[in-house]
Parts: sequence; structure tokens; C-alpha cells
Amino acid sequence: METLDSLFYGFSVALQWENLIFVFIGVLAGTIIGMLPGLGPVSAIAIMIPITFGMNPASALILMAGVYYGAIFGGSTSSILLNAPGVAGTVATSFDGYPLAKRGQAGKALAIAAYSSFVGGTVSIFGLMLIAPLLAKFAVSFGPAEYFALMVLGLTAVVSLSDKSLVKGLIAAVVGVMISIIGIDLQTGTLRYTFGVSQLYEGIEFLIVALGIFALAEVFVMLVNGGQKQNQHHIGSLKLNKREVKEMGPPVIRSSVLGFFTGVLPGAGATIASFLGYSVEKRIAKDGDTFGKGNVKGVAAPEAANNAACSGSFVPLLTLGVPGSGTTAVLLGALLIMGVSPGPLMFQDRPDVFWGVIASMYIGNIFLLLLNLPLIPLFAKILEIPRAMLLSLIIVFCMIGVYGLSFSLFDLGLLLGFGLLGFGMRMYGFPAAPLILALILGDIMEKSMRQALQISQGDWMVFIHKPISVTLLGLALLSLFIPVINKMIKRKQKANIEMKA
Amino acid sequence: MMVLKTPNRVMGIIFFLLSIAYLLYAFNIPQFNLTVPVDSDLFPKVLGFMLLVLSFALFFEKDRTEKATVSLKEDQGRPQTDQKITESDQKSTDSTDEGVYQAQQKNHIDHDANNESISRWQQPYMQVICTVLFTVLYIALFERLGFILSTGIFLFGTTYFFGYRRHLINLAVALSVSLIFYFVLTKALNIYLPQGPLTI
Repeated sequence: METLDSLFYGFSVALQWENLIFVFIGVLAGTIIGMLPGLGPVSAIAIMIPITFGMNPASALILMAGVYYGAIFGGSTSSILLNAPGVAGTVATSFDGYPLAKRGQAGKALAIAAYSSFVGGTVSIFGLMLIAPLLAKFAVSFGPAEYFALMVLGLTAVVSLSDKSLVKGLIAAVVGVMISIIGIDLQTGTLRYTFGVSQLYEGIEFLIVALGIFALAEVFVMLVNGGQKQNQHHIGSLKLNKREVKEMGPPVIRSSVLGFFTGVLPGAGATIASFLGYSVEKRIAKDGDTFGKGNVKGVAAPEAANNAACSGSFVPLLTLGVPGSGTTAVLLGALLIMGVSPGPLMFQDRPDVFWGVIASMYIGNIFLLLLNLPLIPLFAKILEIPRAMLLSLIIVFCMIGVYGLSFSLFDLGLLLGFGLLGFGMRMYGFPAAPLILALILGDIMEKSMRQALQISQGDWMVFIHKPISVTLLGLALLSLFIPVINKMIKRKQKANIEMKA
Repeated sequence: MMVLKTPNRVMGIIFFLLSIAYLLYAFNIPQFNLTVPVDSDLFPKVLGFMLLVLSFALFFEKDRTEKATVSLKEDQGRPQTDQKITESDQKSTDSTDEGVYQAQQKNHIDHDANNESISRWQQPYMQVICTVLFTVLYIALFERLGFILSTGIFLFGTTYFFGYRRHLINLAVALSVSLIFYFVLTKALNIYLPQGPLTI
């Protein structure tokens, strides 16, 4: 009952006309930005941050959340029409979506994607609503030692689950923490790594790094890759027949649940969820061999999973204040700018933010469905925006975002520097997510570590004596071995195949 | 120069030097005058040491042929283009202008071999360098010319440079975008943007 009352309260927040407008703006902007190949939810959120200056936290988070799941929603459009996923989370969608489009059934694929995304999103908001309060109650007892361990786990999980090299992922994370401690040490007032530059005393604003490493770097990458003009396919009818709807049902529900739990786990986000959903359905299906040739289930499963994971990733963010992915890290950063720090306390002190966001997600998903179905042909036109113009616009968006935050040309220079850093990282296979996560968590990590040691009077055993903290640290260590174990399994499989041959 | 055969080795050395410099700074962080269990210098020391160890690990790590990825990673993704970065591109060592420039030089040769019709200005790395220079100019003139002028010129110029040839549309977009942004941000959101010589 308590949950229901709270949810009604949430709707009373989310249904205020201004918040309705924000949800609408959020999902619309998210859909459009997510659709453009190369600009994912991180860039979408970072670009939208300046708009939230001066908003109240509940409205701001409602808008940001809308941008996030809108971007995942929109990413499927370019996956299907161009075979160029707009968002990493929609790569799996293109496996069957693009073949469908080639057969002239793009409309059908887009409609399936929209329905599945809607179901996936809605199912997992329900899960978020049930699980988050429980977790928040549990997390109230967390002290600094547990928080420190939790953040270490979040970081190592993100590093180990990125498909790039483990060493490079760890380097990215360490560099991220290094950037985060630049400036005045809040505990002692000591200046660190400022090199006498007064603009660095306050530290480097995370928005500059996020926009640089994601959005601006993307411009350079697109320049180097060159754009291949792709032909768009005719969209065709959006109607689904009864058989298809029946066929889609079970996979969508299964993938929604799977996606939700994948999203809750630190480090695993929409991308992993969509691949999981796809491969599970391919295994279960009687016609698994037609996957990859335009099977409707192959579109439905990843689309349900990635949207479910997206809502699922709000569980750790809202209840613990620890993001589990690059995107939620940027969301957290946006909240911190506004002076809101999510966590078990926010759940108690600011129920309007917590429940307002949850209620707004229900509304946002309905908006997305209503927006996407009739407007699909219109949205497809956005994909025709000339690449040259798009690149220039992205640069200007980044500049405005940073300048609107600090009004300083020095920061614009930093933005360019981080754009080049991000470009280098992309060229040499360093994952960006660990860096941005570390940047957000770095300060808080150091603070928790010091507080924990302050309480224990300098006894380092404090991290080992507490059951929760030691479990989390153990998991963190374990997660670093995942890639190693994976490699061994792959080698074994290879050896087996060769033996058979 | 056999040691420097692969990008990982080069980067390993760079990170090694970085971590040494970082540690030097860390050991010079002044002490806080009260005794605290953890002073400001501990975290940087640990970080520097971690980077030191990781730089060794990177040095000895085998290179995988990385692929350039087209789509942004949300958390991580699979590379999606088939465009492999060749060894010669990979030789450039870092993301500074210089590194890109060397790579561009090499690229230059590759490209000329493949495609002589591409003008010098349309080489990918040349485009990156020019874009960086344009952006530097844009930043330098941002407050002097004011938001509307600098953004309008920048948008038109870069779009033209990236190969868009419908000047009227380009001009219309550049003007309307900079004007719309200016008014929405300054009037609706109360965010200050430099006016420059234009007084509207």
C-alpha cells in the first residue's frame, strides 16, 4: 500500500504541467539525438545539461531521465534504417532489424521496436518501483567504508565488462580519478595538481570532460572515418499481424525481466542487456536459425532488454547514489551540479524527486510510443541531415554547454583538450566509460575512504572487518578476473573445436 | 627502434613517464599541519603507483588490431565499422596535435597511393587538425565578436569546409541556429552569452 501511496504522490509531481512539458522535451530530444549515428545517451544528456540550470531537481531529473530512455528508444531507428546504430545499446537490434528493412518491412521493424521498447521500459519501471525502496532501506546502514567498497566495485565492474583491454580500461579509470582530484582538497585545503593555474582551484567540471570525451571526440572520429552515405529503405506499413504480436509476446516479457536485472548490476548496461536478450531468445526459439535474417523476435528481444536495462540502471543511482554506467555517471554529475546527491537519504528527504521521476518514466514511455508510431516517417527524415552540418552543430552544442556553465574561455579550451583526449582514446582502444565514471566517483571515493579511516582511527582493517564492505571488495576483485576467465574458456572452446576437426 | 614497434609499447612508455611525473608531484604535496589518518598526498601516491604498474602491463600487452568505432558507447559496444586502423595510423602516439600530425603525414602517403583525387584538405587527419584550429579561433573570437557573429561564422565556415556546397541553405541554418540559440538562452533561460559588437 505504501508504494501505491507514494506512487500517487509521484504522479502528482509528474503530472504538474511543467513537468509534463519537461518529460515531453526530454523524450523528444533524446529520441532525436539518440537517432543520430554516433551520438549516444551520454552526449544527449551532456548537451541537455545546460537547459536544466536553475530548474528544480525533480524537474531536472525528470528531463534527464527522459533524454536517457528516449535516446535508447531513438537509437533503434538508425539501427533498423541505416544499419548504423545510433546507440551502442541498439547494435543487437540491427541484426534482424536491418534485414527486415532490406525486405521493405522497415515500418514493421520500427513498430516492433517501439512496442517492445515500451513494454520493456514499463515492466522495468515497475521493478524499479518495487526494488528501489527496499534497497534504499538497506543502504541507510551503509557507512563510508561500505560506500568506498561499493564505488570500487562500480568502477571495476565497468572496466571488466567493457569489451576492450582490461589494462586500458584500468588506465582510463585511474586517469579519471586523477582528473577528479585536481583542485583544492576539501578536507585539508591543500592544492593538488593545479600548477598555479587559478582556474583549476575549483577542479575540472565533469561536464567539460563528458562533452569533450564523448560528443566532441565523436566529431573527430567521424571525420577520420569518413561518412558513407547510406541508402535509406522505404519504410512501408507499420501494421503488425496477429501472428506476429503473438510471437513477440513471450520474448518481450522475458527480455524485459532479464534486461531489468542486467541494468541493476553495476557495469552492465543497455548494451550487454540487449546482446543477452538477443542470444537467449535465439537459443530458445524453435526458428533460431532464421535469426539474423529478419526474424521479428530478433528485433523485439534486444529492444525490450535495452530499455528495461535503462530503467534498471536507475536503481543503484537513485538508492545508493552510485552510478553503474557511463550514462548514469553523467546523470549523477548533472544532479550534483544542482546540489542534489542521490542516495538513501534523498529517498527519505526528497521523495518528490524519487517518486516524481518514477512516475514520469511511466508517462515518458507512453509519450515515446505515441510520438514514435505516427512520427516514424518524419523522424526518418532527420537521418538525412547533411553530415557536414551535423558535425559543425555538435561542436557548437558542446561550446554552448560549457560556456553556459562557467562563462570562461579557459574552460572552452579545456573542452577542446578533452575532445582530443577522447579522440586519442577512441583511436587506441581506451574505453571512455571508466574514465567518466571514475571522474564522478573519484572525489567521493577519496572522501569516503578518509571518513572510514577517521572513524577507525587510521586502522586499515576497517574495510575488511565489515561484512558488506568486504563482500563488495571481494566482488570487485572477482570482476577483474572475469575477462581473464572468459579468455580461458574461449581458448578451451577453440582447442575443443580443433580437436574435433 | 625495435622496442617502439607497437602502439601499446609507445603508450606504455608515455604512461610510465606520466606516472613518474605524477608521483614526483605527489611526494611534494605539502603536509597538513594537524595529524590526520589520511593526508592529501596518499591518494595521489596510490594512483601514481597504480598507473606505474599499469604502464608496465600495457607495455607488455599484445596489440589487438583495434577498430575505429562509429557509434558512441553507452557502456561498451562492439566495433561497428569495418574500417581497420592500419599500423601506420597507429604509430602516432598520443592525441596531441603533433601525434595526429605525424599520423596524418603517414596517412597522407597511404591516401595518395589509394586515391589521388582526394585533395589535400579532405584528408581525414588534415580535417581533424583544421577543425581543431577552427575551434581554437572560434574560442579566441567568442567573446570578442560576440556569440551570434562568432557562432554564425563558425557554423557556416566549418559546414562549408566539411564539404557542404549548398551555400544558401548553409547560410540560413548558420544564421537561424545562432540567433535562435542566442535568444532562447539569454531571454528564456537567463544564461549570459557575449554580445560583442552587435547590440540587439
